[in-house]
Amino acid sequence: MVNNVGIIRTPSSNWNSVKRAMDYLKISNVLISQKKDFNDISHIIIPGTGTYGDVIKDLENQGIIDSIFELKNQGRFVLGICLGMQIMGERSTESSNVSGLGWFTYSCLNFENIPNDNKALKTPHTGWNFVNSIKSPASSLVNKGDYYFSHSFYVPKNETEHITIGVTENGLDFTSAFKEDNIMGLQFHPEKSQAKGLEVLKKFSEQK
Amino acid sequence: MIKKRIIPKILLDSMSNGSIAAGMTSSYDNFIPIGSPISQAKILQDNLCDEIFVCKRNDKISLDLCYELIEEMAAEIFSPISFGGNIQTIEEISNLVTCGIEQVVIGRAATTEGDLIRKASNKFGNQFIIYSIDYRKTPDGRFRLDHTSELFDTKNLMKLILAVIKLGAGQLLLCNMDRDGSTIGPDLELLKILNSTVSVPIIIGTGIRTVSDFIDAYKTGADAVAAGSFFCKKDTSPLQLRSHIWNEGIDIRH
Repeated sequence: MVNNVGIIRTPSSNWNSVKRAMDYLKISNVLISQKKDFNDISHIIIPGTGTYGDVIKDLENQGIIDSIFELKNQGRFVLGICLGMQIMGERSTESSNVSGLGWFTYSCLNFENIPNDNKALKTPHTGWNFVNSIKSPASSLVNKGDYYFSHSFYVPKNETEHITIGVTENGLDFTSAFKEDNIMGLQFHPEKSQAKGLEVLKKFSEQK
Repeated sequence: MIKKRIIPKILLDSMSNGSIAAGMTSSYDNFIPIGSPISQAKILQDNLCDEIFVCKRNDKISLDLCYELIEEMAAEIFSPISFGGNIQTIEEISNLVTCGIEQVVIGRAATTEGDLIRKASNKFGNQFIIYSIDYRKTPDGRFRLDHTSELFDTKNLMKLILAVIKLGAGQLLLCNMDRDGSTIGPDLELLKILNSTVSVPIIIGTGIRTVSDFIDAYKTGADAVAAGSFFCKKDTSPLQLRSHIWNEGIDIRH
């Protein structure tokens, strides 16, 4: 199958930014809003802006959660970006009564609640920060370096113990990138991280 | 830790032939065009900008034209882009997200359009909203916000800012209007007070003339510095600027 990346489109997400990056990289892509859009998709990207509860609600309303699960279970490659990564876990304190996709057991927490005696830590975590590569076969997908982040909630490092490929420090160490089999999560925005970010998108999309 | 940011500003105004030009101002007036916004953005990205601020100066340019411009920009610029310019409604904000904006800058509407910040923050997250405090200082040390006649003392200004943060503003943009394009540097006094009051990122928005102004702003607590005329004047290359800042012990991409 020729690689064809499906970009999940929900009302509050920045799907267009991801699409433009894929167009620029000349990677075949299609927007997915409904069940019928899932045709010949080899890869899925779940972009991430908005709020946890709303994204899950939108995916449910659009009737596409089952199809995403199906493709994931078939071994197609899935990338969650920022909120897209967060919802792949069980829960987030952002919308504590909403369940995530449950592919992983992590729960997302808020940087605001880290002990912050010297007031130097600002929330949201917005700007460029260093992603330190964790040595693993998958870590070649994300080269260490600075990437662009914009979020208040994070995945605690200890909750992705064996699948972490990138760690970043903001008051504490959190998981900035992970990969398990066909599923990858990035807390930063590769579509906004200039050349380094585009490289990650390219490598993700080229997986076979 | 997260790095300090340099944010070049692209100010937009309409030209007599109907086109949109990028340029610079002083005291929010005396617009001098310097070129095409898209070309400017490309040059800035090539020179490692951390973000780009696109600001519509006035209502002579329609938002529809701006949507087109931003779409065009976002097709080639893979850096965070923030946009501001009298944004008043949630529909405008939604359109801007679709076009490819990373953050919206909201000024007067934060206090005149009741629910706008809360609605926008609930929908897109507070990391999406920058509250722009555009002000002038009176001789007796009080603050007049743009588009209001009300005067604030420091305590009441802080109360207002904290209230807007509570509504959902995730960053603050501090713009002393008298220091725009100025020769007197940024307002470090207010920055210091603000930095000890809030725990959201603060961006200095006006008054940057020299490399030292960047350094002083970061050392006083600014998380980011936005500059317009500094980059238009091109006395220091952006990469030289970063080296200077880095050499002062400030963590910045370089």
